[in-house]
Amino acid sequence: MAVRAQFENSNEVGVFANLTNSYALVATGGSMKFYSVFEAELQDIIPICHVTIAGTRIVGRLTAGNRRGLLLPTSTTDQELQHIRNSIPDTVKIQRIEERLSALGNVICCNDRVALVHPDIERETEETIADVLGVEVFRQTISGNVLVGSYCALSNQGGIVHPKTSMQDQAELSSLLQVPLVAGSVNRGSSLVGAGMVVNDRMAVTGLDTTATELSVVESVFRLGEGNAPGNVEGSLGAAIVETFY
Amino acid sequence: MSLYLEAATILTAPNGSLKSRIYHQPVKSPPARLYALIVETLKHQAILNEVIENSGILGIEKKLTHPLALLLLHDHLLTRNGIATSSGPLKNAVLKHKARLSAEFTRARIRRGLGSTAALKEAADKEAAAKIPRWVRVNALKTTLSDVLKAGFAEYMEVAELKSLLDAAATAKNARVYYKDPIVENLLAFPPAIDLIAHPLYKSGALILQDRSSCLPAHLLDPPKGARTIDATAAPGNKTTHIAALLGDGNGGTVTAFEKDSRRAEVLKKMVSRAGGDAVITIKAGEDFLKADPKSEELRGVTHLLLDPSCSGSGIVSREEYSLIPLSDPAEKNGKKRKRSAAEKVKQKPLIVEEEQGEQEESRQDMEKSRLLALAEFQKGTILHAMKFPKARKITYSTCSIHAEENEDVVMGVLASAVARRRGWRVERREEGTLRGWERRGLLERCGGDEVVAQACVRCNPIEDGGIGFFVVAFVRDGDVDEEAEEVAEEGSKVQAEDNTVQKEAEEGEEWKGFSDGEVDTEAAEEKPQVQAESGEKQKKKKKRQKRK
Repeated sequence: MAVRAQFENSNEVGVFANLTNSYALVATGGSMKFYSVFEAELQDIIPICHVTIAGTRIVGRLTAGNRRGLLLPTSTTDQELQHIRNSIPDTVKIQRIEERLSALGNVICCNDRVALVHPDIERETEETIADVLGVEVFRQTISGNVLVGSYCALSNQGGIVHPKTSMQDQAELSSLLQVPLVAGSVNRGSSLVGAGMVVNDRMAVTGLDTTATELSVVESVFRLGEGNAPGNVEGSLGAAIVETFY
Repeated sequence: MSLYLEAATILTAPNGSLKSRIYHQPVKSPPARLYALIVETLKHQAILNEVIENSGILGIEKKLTHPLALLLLHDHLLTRNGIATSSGPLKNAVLKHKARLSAEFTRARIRRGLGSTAALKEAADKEAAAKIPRWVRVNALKTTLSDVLKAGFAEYMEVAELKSLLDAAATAKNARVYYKDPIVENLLAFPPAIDLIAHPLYKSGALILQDRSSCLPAHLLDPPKGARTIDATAAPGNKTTHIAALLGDGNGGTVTAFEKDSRRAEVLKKMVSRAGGDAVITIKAGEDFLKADPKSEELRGVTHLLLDPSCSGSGIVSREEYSLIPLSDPAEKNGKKRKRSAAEKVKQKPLIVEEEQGEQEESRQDMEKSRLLALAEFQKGTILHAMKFPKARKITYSTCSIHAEENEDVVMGVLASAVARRRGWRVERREEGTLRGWERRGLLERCGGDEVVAQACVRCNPIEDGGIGFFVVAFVRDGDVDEEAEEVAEEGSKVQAEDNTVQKEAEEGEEWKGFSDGEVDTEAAEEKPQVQAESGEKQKKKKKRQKRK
């Protein structure tokens, strides 16, 4: 299911939340409305925790993780680390990593099998990512942008990349990731798809500005909702259109 | 670790075949295992080289050399059990980078359009195997072609073309087909995967495993039954026994086989006795052909000579052996790295190293060049020595090289030499020889534009022509001159020559300025037929004189 939400008047959902198949991190503060969007869909399925990283609320941009692990920047305080450790399942490995490029959410984009990373990330970090997240790590750019985490949203079912990614790049990326990809936008034409939404295999949350067409593309490529095989445009478009009348 | 260290040493050893490098020196690891490791690694070296370059592992792990990294990466990425040692510094050096390496490996695999590692292995096997058929010569000293086909290969089907043989082999692993070579008698081709080493006919010496290319010299030499012949560099004896088979047993024909290296002469002896050539072939173990006296009692009757002197071997591609491909140009790599400005600051030192590598590369090319020239000089010397044999009528010269320096250039050099001119040696024209049906001929531009010489030369391109790269040419001398008369004439001409040596030399100096200059080349080419014609006339005159006497 794909839903729209806003965090304190901001459409950049991916900045304030991090969603994986075994846990969700949501920034503290503001109203509970943002939190309840996740809760409505994921309650009793995965833990949803309120966190801050280094005292900030931009948890989605500072952390990166998947079903098996969670990577935190060095700036994370011990207290925050302890809180996260207590909140998410024990099977998830948590690791603080020393990396110059400390906005891990911007430089790492991963699902449960593959991670795309910034080309200049340190070698040690690369190995740590592979160990903690249990993925293959590819240094990559997305249509010339080094911040792969900002320009790509990825789940185990599919992915959306920067709208100006060439077909050739898409084909190459898609063969690396082994999932179908589309070039698309969220939040009424924003190319920052990674920052504008969060997604796992069960749901996607995008900004409130996202158009019906954008949402239908999201539902289609991530295979969310019933009967939403890629290509089945009519069904998903219909649902999205109805939703816009709320 | 010793397994990998030993394998790396063997891999970089400069000469000898892979098998001889493994089996002829003491190694700690089981030789079969070493061999398997090296062959498998080399089979995948293109993709492994790509991984090494793109991951830049050699720049970070100073302990790793290129061959060592290849071997370790092969085991790490392509075998189920990974690197086969307990932890050590080298293993750790690789494992430290395992995420990067596996990523680069996946990337390279996907770039080749292969979905899985299994598909990659399959593709590499296919690529390595299916190109060269297994050529087998039926030994006429022991048996006949029809007997062999009846006794050993009754259930095999004959195919009309070499291509359909390879196609059949590619579709079915145990395709039972064979192909009869239309040019060389008694030569068969089988699918590459066939294993004949254990075949009773091979053990009995009725079959000889010999590439088609290396059957060409003896076929071109085409000695008449009962001729006296020399094989100047005989080991391992495939060509020697081929000549013996052409001469036939028991009609007076002989082959004198020279082999300088006494260890290789042992192999030659074994081969000869297995092929049943003991009666025809005399082995001169440890003797150098260049030091043999052409006028000695034993050798003065020799009419046909087969020369296959040592060469660079640049045409050799064999079934299971490959050679180490060096990493691509460091300068190029350098350029790629420069894009990353963040890495730039750290780069200062490596840059200098890379420049040095570039210089090394250049000097290596120079060395290669001078090695070729030295070889060419030696090859030319061998031919010139062969031309001194008093009764010699025909000489074949062959190399398993694809470089023109060792082939056409040598031929041109020989034709221009004093011995060749004086004694009337010329190339055997295409239409005179037994290989007139062979399509690929010599390089015209390296023969100074002389169509006759270029057409006389026979070339095989590696793989494309169904075997190793090869070059062969025959020199002949119009033969019915009486020897003694010729010798007298020779002396006569010497006396004559003495009179105007200075003048002649000066003239020659003007005529012949080497091959570097195109203009001089054509002049020289025009000059030659005249010289030949002259010498022909001289001989005729001599004959007449003889008759009058």
